[in-house]
Amino acid sequence: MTALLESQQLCKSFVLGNDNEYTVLSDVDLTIEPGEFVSVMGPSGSGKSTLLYNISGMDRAKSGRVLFNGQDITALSEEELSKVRLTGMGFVFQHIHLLKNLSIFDNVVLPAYLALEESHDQIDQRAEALMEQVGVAHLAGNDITQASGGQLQRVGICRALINDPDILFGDEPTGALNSKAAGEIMDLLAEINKSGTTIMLVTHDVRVAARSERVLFMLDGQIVSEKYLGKPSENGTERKEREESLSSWLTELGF
Amino acid sequence: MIIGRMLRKDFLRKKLITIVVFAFIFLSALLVASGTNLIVELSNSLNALFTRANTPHFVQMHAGPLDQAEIDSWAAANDMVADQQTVKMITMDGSNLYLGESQNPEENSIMDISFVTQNEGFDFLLDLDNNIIQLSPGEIAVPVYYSQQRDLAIGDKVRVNTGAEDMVFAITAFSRDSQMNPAIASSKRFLIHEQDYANLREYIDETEYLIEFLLVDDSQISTFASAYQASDLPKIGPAVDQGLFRILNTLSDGLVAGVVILMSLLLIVIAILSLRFTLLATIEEDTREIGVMKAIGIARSDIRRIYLAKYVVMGAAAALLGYLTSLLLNQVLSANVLLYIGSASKSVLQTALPLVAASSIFLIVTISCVVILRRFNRISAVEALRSGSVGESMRSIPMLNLKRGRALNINAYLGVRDVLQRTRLYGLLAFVFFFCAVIIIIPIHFLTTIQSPTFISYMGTGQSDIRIDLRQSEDVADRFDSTVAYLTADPDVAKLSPLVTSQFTIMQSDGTLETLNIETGDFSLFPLDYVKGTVPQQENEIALSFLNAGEMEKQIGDTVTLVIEGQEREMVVSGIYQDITNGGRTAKATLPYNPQTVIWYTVNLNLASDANIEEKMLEYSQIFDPARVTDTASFVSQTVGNTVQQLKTVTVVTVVVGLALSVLITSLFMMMLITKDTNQIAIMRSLGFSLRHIRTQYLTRALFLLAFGIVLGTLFSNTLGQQLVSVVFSLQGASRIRFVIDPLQAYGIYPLLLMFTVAVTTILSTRSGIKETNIAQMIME
Repeated sequence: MTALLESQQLCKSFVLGNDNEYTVLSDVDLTIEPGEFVSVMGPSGSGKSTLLYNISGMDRAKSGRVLFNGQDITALSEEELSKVRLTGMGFVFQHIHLLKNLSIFDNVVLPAYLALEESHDQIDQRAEALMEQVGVAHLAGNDITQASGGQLQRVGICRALINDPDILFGDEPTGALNSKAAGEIMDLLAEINKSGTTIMLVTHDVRVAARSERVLFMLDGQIVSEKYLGKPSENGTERKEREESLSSWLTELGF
Repeated sequence: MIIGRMLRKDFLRKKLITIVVFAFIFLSALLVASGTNLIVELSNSLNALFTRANTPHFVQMHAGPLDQAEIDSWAAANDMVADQQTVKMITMDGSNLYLGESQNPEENSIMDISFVTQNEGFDFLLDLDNNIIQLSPGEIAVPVYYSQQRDLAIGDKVRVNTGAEDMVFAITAFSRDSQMNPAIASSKRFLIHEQDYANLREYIDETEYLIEFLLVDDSQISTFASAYQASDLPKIGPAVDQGLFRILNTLSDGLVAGVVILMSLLLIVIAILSLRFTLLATIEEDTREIGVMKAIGIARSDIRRIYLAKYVVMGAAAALLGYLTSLLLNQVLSANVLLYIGSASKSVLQTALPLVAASSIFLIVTISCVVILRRFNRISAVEALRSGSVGESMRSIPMLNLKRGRALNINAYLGVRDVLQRTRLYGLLAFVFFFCAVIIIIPIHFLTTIQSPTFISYMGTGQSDIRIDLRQSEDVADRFDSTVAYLTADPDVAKLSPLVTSQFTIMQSDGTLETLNIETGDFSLFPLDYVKGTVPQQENEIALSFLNAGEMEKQIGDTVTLVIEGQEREMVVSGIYQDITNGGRTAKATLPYNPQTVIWYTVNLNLASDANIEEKMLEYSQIFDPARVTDTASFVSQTVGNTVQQLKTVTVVTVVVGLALSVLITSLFMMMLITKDTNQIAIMRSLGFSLRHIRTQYLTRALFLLAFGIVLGTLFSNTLGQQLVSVVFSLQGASRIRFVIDPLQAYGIYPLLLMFTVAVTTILSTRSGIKETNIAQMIME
């Protein structure tokens, strides 16, 4: 089976004010299969968010390749890359990042109105169904100031899914939420993954990472270790064991 | 030191924006200082000229026989008179005058040219050093007007063809004539020696007179004028006073000064609006930092002072640079004044006032910044640290959901939508676009109007194919009769209207007598567009020009009392019309005229449809020589030709200024807007909006605002703008200017030019700003 997403010797560095180059990613090789749920963990400054942004095409790597559905997205023009990200990828942010001048419903449909792969009516119907599914349909006409953090994150997930992407990226999607809301969001993501959408998250939360089937550990710009947890059970009964197993592993890694 | 480092850092961060705002303040200070200097210089120089030339207080022009003894005895008996002299002028036909190297005579000149000698008592003609000119035989002093218009120099020749021989003079001076100096004065005096004058007199005996008076008290000019008009003294011609001389001398440069100062004020408004926008955007950017400063205990006033420092320093530097640069620009702006009027020694006021004016610009900038920076009061430390935003006010417009914009491209819709949601933010740009549209459209409308043949309706006469003007001479009445007879018999003439303008005496409401130039004839043949009422048809009806009606305070139906041969005659005002010729003070009636008081004769005619107008004009020029034969277009262009040239220049300037202003403000605004919208741009790009999509949104905003500005500007120009021009022109006698509009230019070419300019500017100024938005960096921050 062709990998959905693959990075080959991905490198990224930043130039600091005194012209010193600071390496953030160092020859990162990574493969994500269709339908996988992958988490990336590591200490602050390990490069996990940078990996996420470079592998999703939101930032340009210094060197290396990224293949998405077999296509080298690092060789695409800005216009082509934007189109790939619009229709093939969804992104959920820690601080959600909804547009403040649009209603909640309009925030959800915006990427689909831009891609326009269906009629407007079909898009609207899909948006309503998604919002119904995640439990925020009643907030459709509201401003983004008229919803809680957890509700807004659900809206963010709807937006990320509106174009039926092949992969959903998340950068600390529960980082700004209380534990109850975080749990609900993770239940939602698990459900989305179960329906076939590939998910790649960056997190520092063991409870979040334990919901994924594979966890990557980054240190100093490289993936230094990997743990396969397997698909979680339907009823989540072994969640605690998964968390403990993951914690032990992380302790061994010195995290 | 700290402030210096801070300013330098801030400048390097936003170089272009700082430069643009600096430029506006600099330009405003430059123009206001220069305009002020011009006004003071004009006033001082004119006073110096009038003092040196000893300009008469009252002048009665007269063409006809004159009894000097009668004038002397009247003057002696009048307590108001300090001195009196009668200047004899040899009237020179332009077709006999050759200037410099030119082989073409001055026959097509609109100037009435006279030859005079230097006066002994007062009304001196001065050279360019403001010294009283003294000539030797064979020398001539030419009005300074010709040094510009004909590119003459000292040493060039002036040739007069007397018919019998050529008299050649050498130009030894250019003269300043306090009465007839400016280009808009249609008479000019050439100064020659008494001996040459006597020789010339033997060949040319056409004489006009200037009956001049110096008064004991110049506040009694109008009383004296009434007294003169009530007397039996010669008055075949217009009367003018020193007030009018001052107006004529200062009109052109005064107008320039007025426009310069107006531009300065508009620029400072734009500078303040730009400053406001820049400051608010900076506060928005620095909200988190400001929140931190507040949280750690730095007082609001201290924070405010830090931000104020930058703009106070910038304002001071720009105003000072503007003032210093104005010292150079003054040379250019005052060039006309220095040439035509001369200079006076610099007064304290002339040094101080421009500096005060430039300082006022600095003061305006500082006060504006203080007012704008009160916004700091609204920033809560906690909120600023949490959200990093002051919370921009945005209009919630539910009906503008995305569903409503399905018919449009999503990016175009988002662009328009943003403008409607953040109307206050876009106020600056909308105002500038409106202003640019107005300053482009009004001059274009005005130029089209003044170049249109229908402009003749503002000159007190109807539109005809050919117009023949007969100048005052001894046999002019006979020539007029023979001209009319010839034209009546000419089969190529479809219709003709002979008109005679003569002087009548009018009794004002306070019982004083004044003269009134009344044109008599049949006005129905070449009708005129009346502001109010209709053409006079009965012998007891009179139509007044707009200025006359205003001064006499007459409306339709009111009566005007003429005194004809000692008898009072009531005339009913039947109509009021527009006339910018002859000082705007004319009248029309159908009553008989007095041949003794005729000033000029005119014949308007239309040719038969198969007649060739050029051929007929040539024929009439030869047969009716020395009459002036023109077609309507030539007549208009000769009369307003200078104004048309100036207006063309003004139009070019305003189009360039409008385009430059739109470029500057659009680029400034777009760069600031992108900085302000960085977060939103990053979010959209993270969703898959490409650079092209984002650019489309900004382009739509700019063009939407521009379309709004153009539409509003066009409406304003066509309504209030037209009224504004009417108000300005009403001072000259045309109270109801109706724009003649060339839709291709006004609604097609120039708006498209503006749109193209703004579109290109928007694309270029948003290009780097959007591209540099690093999504990942912005999102992660």
